[in-house]
Amino acid sequence: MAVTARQAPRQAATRDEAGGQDAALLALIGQTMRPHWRLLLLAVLALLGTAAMNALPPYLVRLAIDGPLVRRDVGGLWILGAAYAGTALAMFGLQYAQTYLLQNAGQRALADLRVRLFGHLLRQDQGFFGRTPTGDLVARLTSDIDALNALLSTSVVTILSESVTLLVIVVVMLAINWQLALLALAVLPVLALITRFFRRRIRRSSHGEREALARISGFLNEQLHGMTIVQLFGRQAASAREYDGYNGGYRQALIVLRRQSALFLASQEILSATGLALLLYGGGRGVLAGWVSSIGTLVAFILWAERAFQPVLRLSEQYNAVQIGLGAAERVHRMLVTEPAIQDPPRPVAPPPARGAIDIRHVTFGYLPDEPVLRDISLAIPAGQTLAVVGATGAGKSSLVGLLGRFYDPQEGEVLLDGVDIRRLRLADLRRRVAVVPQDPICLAGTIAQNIRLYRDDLTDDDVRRAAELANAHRFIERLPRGYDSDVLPGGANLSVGQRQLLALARALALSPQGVLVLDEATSSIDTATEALIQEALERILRTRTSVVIAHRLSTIRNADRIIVMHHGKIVEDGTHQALLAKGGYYAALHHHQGPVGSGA
Amino acid sequence: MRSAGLRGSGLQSTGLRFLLPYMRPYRGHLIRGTVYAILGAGASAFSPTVLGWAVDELNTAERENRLVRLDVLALYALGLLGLAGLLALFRYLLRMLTGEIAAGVSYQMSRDLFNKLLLFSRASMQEYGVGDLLSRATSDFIYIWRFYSAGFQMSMHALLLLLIGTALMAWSNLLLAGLVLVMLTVSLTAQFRLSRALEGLFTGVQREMGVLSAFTQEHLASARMLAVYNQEAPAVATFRHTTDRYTRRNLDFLLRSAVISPLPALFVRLAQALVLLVGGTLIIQDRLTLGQYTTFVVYLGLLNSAAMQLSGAYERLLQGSAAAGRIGEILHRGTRVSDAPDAGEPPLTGTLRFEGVGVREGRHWVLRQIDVEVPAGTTLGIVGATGAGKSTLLGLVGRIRDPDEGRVTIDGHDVRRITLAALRRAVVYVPQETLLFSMPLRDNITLGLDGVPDERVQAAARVARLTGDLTQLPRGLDTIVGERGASLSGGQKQRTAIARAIVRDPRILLMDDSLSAVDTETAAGIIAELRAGAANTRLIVSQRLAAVRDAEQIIVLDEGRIVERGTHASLLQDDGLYAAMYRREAQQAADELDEDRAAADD
Repeated sequence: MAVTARQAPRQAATRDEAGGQDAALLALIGQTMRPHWRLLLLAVLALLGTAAMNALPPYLVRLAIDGPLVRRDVGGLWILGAAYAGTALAMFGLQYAQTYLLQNAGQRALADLRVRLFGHLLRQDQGFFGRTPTGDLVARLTSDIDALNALLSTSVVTILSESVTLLVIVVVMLAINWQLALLALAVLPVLALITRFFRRRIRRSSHGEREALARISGFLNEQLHGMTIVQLFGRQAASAREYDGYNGGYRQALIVLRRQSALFLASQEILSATGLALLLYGGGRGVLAGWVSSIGTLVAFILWAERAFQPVLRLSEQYNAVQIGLGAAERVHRMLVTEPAIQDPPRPVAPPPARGAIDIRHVTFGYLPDEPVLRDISLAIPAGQTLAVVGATGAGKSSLVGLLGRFYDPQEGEVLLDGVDIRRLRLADLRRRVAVVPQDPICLAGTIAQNIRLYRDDLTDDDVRRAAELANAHRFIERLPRGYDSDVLPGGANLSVGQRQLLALARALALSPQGVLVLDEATSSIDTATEALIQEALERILRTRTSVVIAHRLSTIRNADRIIVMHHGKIVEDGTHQALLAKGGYYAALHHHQGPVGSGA
Repeated sequence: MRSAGLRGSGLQSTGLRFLLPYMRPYRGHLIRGTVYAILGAGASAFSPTVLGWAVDELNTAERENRLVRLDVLALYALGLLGLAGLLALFRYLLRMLTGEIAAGVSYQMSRDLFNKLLLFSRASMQEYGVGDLLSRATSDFIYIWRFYSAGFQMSMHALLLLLIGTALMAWSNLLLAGLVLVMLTVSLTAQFRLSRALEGLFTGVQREMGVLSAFTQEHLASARMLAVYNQEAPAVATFRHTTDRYTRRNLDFLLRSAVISPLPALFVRLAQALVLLVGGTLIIQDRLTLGQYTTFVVYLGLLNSAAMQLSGAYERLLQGSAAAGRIGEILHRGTRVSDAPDAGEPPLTGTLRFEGVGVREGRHWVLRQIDVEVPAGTTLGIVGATGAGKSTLLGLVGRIRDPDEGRVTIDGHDVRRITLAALRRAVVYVPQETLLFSMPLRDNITLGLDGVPDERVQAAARVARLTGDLTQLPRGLDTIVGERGASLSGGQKQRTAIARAIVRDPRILLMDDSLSAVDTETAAGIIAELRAGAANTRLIVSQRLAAVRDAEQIIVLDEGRIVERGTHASLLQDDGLYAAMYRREAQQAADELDEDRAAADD
């Protein structure tokens, strides 16, 4: 299907030959954990204690078999039994301490990482958002960070504690009887080989599983947004079929992954038994030949071997989770190293006194470098001028807006604001001086007032109201059940497009009371009566501000100081309303077609 | 939460009752799985006994100072290997079987979920929000998978291991086995009691995750606006709060479970201490052999890991059940707009009537007392200020929502008595905002139709004035449009939506200001052509009077009521709101004409 084709190349180059990447990922994890090193250090101490408590019991059993049991000394048995119970309680306490410390550190570190990633993504340029579906980004911040969470909170804890346990047991065994120890550990190299064999296969299938889930998530994101359309146009059956494909793919991927790990675990179980059988046969001969000192020693080694294998098994069980976690870490890492194309300059200049003069010089721009949408455009807008931009769909009007707000940088030429190339200004400084109101008005979940002031809590209710009145949004807001405190649903779903445009306009007036105002079809869905009222208010505001207005309606355009007509990425006409009419070119033709009472019909 | 009132009785009340029905097709699997688990766990439980025999053989040989029979020792060693082979084989089979169940159940459930979502009304959609639904449809299924795969497999294996092992131990020494059993019962009871609280905590964690995910989704989609107003930093600060709230909940959950989940292991270790003490005493009294003691100690090791698996499985069970509860909440939710049991598919010609229609948002009436008849073959123009209720009115015809009062009929049939499928074949709605899917433009136009011949698509594209744009696109009609149609301009998107409507050849066409982003010249052409051919009955909402001027009927809405109705001519005579709107536009036109003349004189 279409979506598969679109997503496959994007995610294909990933973990398969990742080896060297792991260092970068570990660095990311290390970097994230560093602020919490004190907690981590304490946790490691607790972990060492846990491992010691885990290794001790077989030694106590050996003491019992070779001591009190031979001497028939019940008192000595009591002491050893009490010591055994003591190790159990100590281990429980130490384990909790270790979890407490690690979780506190890990959870905080992950919260930090989540916030860091969110901030980083918000800084990305528009090109990035165009390339990357929002669903993918949300997955980075939720399921991937969660996978990292699982990696740190479960896998790392298990891996650390089990490896320390293994190490302690091996050292103790070697110290007591090295021949027997070597016999017990003989299968470990084979284990390492088998692990290596399965590692690559599990890595690949776990990657496949994640990909399948990402496809489900991407598909759902789009379908859920468009659910009304899917229903009204009766596409339910086709959507269900398509979903079935993704869902079935995920099911298949899960089974493939399951088979790999089940085979791996089965081989582990057989190996562990082989080690035990070797120990029993070889050690048994040793007891008889005398190089194993006592039967107590053999029993203790059998218990140790069990305890040594448990960590190995649990370590390998973690392998999958680690792969998933590392895969997630890699995707997060890749996001974090993606630098936005639009950034603050290294040495920003102080913004000149704000007047609002714009000078566009020989600008060529295309979303794809070899497909320019603007070709060698030059345009000077003096401070205070109201410029209207007219042109057919696809003439390059919105691209021009994108350059003014520096959502994109031109391939050639430059855009000057009050004589300074906007690429030399800090983005925050630029955007304090240029406000762009888009055609697709955006609403956030919250109240009407919050939607106007966004996060600017310094704006009073009066400020908000004044802006709404100016934008003519006040009238509809007042009629809502709770006025400015009425809830706006996610995406502004309970408001009409016109109402959302009015809100967006109010927002612009509240948050950017000065500077250049760019209206990109910002009033296209507002009825003419309301628009006329807005026009009146806007005219007062625009008189003092430089403004660029893109519109289809001539009523919106004709009051502009100056009008440019764009066609195929070039400015083809430039002048006042009357001058352009007199010229009898494209603008005049357009004007002729749009009689207000439908002369075009 | 919906199920809050039933929580008291524990697991049964929440997720499991949604999950169990999905198990029905797998009854055969479960029986096979039980057999595998018995064989695997049996092999595993029997190996300590073999080990014990070997130790006894060695011990007596050493004590009686006679030669040990090496072939017997080898036999025991081989026995251990054979048992391990059986364990590995049957556990592999069990793992694959539970994996199949897990993948199958989550596939089926996920499918049901999506099918349910396809029936969701716009109101339900808004109530949950896309972010929340998305998190249910993805991360909750991960927990359900874990519940069935690892959780099921581990609990089956561990439980049977405990059962068989205990029986073997009892056979070897009743007193010791009794001791172990008592410790184990105490441990498991304590654990199940304590962890009931965990389920509630986990649901809380998932709910916070939903909030976090919705916030993320919304703000990333609004990144440009946040940039325009320099609001990134405060947005990040708010994100920090949301994250911290989630983290606190999660930490609370994790620390609570850190106390509960190692409990079984603790009890097993304490049991081992007891076995050392009591077993040692029995050996001293010659009532137990060293081999039997070894069997007990090794078996306790197995028990230890079985108990740990059991608690791991229990945790997954809780998480899976909480997740299933969240899915079940959606699955069992009633759909507000659905087919009535007696809904039919009558032939429709397209006479549309609104009879005393009212729509309410809370206590506020969005529409009130709407009575209009639109005879088949005519056009109704609807004008009015932003927020007057025009879109809501159109939405009633295709049943985006149902009215709270009155009814809407087509050819005398209440739309609620017509099946949704038939209704939506007859009625096509072109919304204000166009939504395109990431698939070829052609599929976006023929959305929901199968096997539409190329000529019809081309013809629709021609009427919608899309033909010229096609030549600019790299692959014409087969160009794939980006996520939510990002790579087309607003006007191109709207014209695609018009083509989408035309290709369906509907009885009733609803246009909700569908040409706002199309330039005037093109819009005029499209409207003229629609008037000539498309659909029997047309309802046109427009900001431009030009679009409705020739309609047989025009209504003017204000604050949800019809304030004027008539034809263009009669409305002008009535000299009301419509006439005022017309005069305003005419005045503009006159001004422009004057300017035209003035300009021409220059």
